[in-house]
Amino acid sequence: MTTNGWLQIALFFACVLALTKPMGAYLTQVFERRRTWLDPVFGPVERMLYRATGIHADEEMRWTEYLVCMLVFSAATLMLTYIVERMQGHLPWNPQHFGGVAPDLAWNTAVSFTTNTNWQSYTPEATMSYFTQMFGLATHNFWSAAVGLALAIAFIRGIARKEMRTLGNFWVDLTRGTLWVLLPISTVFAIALVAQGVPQNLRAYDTAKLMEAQTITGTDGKPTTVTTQTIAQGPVASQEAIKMLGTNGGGFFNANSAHPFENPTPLSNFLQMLSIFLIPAGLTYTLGQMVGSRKHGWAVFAAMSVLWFAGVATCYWAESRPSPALANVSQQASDLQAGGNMEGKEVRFGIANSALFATVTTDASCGAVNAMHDSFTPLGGMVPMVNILLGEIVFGGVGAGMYGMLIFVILSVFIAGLMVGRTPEYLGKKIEAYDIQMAMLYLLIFPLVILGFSAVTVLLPNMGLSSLANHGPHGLSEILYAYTSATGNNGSAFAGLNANTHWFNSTLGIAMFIGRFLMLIPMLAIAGNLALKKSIPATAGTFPVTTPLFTTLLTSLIVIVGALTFFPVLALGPVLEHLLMRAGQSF
Amino acid sequence: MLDLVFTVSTIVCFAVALLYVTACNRLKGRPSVD
Repeated sequence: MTTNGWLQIALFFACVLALTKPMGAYLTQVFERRRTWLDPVFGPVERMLYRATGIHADEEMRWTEYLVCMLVFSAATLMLTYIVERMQGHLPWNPQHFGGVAPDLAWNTAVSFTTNTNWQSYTPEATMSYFTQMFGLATHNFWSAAVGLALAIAFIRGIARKEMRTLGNFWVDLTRGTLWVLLPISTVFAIALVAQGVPQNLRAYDTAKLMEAQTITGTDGKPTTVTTQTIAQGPVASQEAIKMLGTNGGGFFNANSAHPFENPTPLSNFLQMLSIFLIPAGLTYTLGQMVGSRKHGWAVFAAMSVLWFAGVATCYWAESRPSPALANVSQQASDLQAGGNMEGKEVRFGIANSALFATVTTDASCGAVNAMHDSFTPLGGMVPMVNILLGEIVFGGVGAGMYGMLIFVILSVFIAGLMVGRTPEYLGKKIEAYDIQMAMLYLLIFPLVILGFSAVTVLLPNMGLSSLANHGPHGLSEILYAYTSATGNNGSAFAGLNANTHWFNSTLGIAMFIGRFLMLIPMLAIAGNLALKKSIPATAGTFPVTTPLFTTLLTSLIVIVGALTFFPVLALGPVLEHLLMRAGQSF
Repeated sequence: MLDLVFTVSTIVCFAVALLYVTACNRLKGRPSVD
C-alpha cells in the first residue's frame, strides 16, 4: 500500500461527500415536481409524452398499481429487446453483419439488461450490432436505472406520507428520472469521456496490419500466423456514460472498463467510479429531505461509508501483499513496479484504483470492472463477492441500494425496539408484524436463490462443473460469484466460468429475474403499508435514528445478517483458497 | 421453437410476479390504520 494510493482513495471519498448534498437536493426537486433550471428544456417534452401516451400525471397510484405498471413496462421492454437481438441481422447499423443472437443468450441478455444486471455471457464487440447496443441495450441502461430510482422514491414517500394510500405515479417518476436526471448527466459525462479519448462513431471496425506477425494457438490446438488486427469501435462514449451513471455495468467491449477505448485514462477511471456513487449517495440526502430529518439521511450515509471503507481497505491490503508463490522475487512497491498482485490489472490504474473500482462497482449494483476479479487474491476477490452478498446496500444501485438499505433500517429499528421491550417506531411510524414479514421475505429470497442455484450447479458435472476453468475452492467461488452477481443484479463476473451454456443462460436469467422483481414486491408492500399509518410524536423512549448509536447498530446488523447467511459457503470458497495459497497451493 | 419457449417463460415469470403482488396484498388483510 502506498501513500499515493490512500490519497487517491481519500480524494474519491471527498468528492462523493461533496456531491451528495447538491445531487440529493436536486433529486428532491425533480421528484417533488418543484421547479428546476431544466424545466424549459424538458417540461414541454414531458407534457408531450403524457399527452401522447394518455397519462394523467396528477393521478397517484397505490403500491399495487405502481408495481403492476412497473411489471408491465419491464415485460414489454424485455420482449422488445429480445426481438431486437433475434432480428439484428435484418436491422440497420450492423456494419460487421452480425447474425441474430441465439435464443437462450438473447433471453439471458434481455433479462439481464431489464433487471439492471447487465450480466454478459457474450463478447459484445463480436456479437451485438450497433443498433442492438444502442436501441436494445443502452435504452435499458436508462430505463432500468429510472425504474430503480422511481421505486426508491416511492419507498421514501411511503415513509414520509401519513395516512395516505398512494405512493406517486410510476409513469411520472419514470419520465422525470430519465429526463431530468439520467439524460442530462449522462450527456455531459459522455462528452467528457469523448474528450478523454473514448470513441463515438458508427463506422465499421478498422483493420490494422501488425508490425510483426504473431503465431497463436487456436481452440483446435493448431498454430496460426496472424498478420492483422481488427480494432472494434462504435458508439462507445454514449453507452459508457449511462452504463456507469445508471449502475448498469454492461460493457461495449468484453474487457469492460479495463478496455482502453472504454476507460482510457486515470481521469476517466476516476469519473467513472464517481458516477457510480453519484446518484446513490445523493439519495441519502433526498431521504433526509423528504422525510424531514436530514440527520437521518446523514446517519444512513455514515453507515454506508463505514462499510465502503472496510471493503476498500481490505481489498487494497489483500492485493498489495506479496504473493507467497513468488517468494524469491521482490514484490515491494517502487518507482519501477506497483508491488503486490498485478495479475489481471491494468498498469495505468494500478492496485489502489483497481481495488477501489472493484469495491465501488460491487457496493453499488454496477458490475463494470477495470480489473479481472478472478485474478484477485482469494481475500481481495472475496471483498467484491461479500459486497454483493450484503445486498449491495453500500450506496448501492440507483434506487435499489436505497430501498435495500431501508429494509435493514426497518429491521434495525425493530431489533432496537425488541431490546428495550417497546413497539418499534421508525420516524413516527409503528413497525408492525406485516412490515417485518415483508422485510424478512425480502431478505430470505436473496440467499435462497444464490445458495440454491449454486448448490444444484456444483452437483451437475456435465452442465455445471464442465463450465469451470478452475477447480477446487476457486471453482466454487466462480459459481457462487456468478449466481451472487446475477441475483444481486450486479453483472460483474469471476472470469474462468463459461456461462454461455443453456444451463447458465437459463438459470442465471431466472436468478436475475427473481433478484429484481420478486424482491422489490415485498419492499413496496412495506412502503404502501407505511404510507397508510398515522405519525406518532417521538417520546423519550423512541429509538433515535439520527445518532452514531443508530449507525453502529445498522452497520452491525448488516454485517451479522450477511455473515450468518453466507459464512459457511465463503469458508469453503475464498477462505479455504486463501489458507491453501499460504500453504503453497493455487488453483 | 426456442423463441416460443422463452416467450412463454417470460410471460410465466411476470404472471408469477403479478400473483406475488396479489399474495403480498392479501397477506396484509385490513389496512392497519390505528
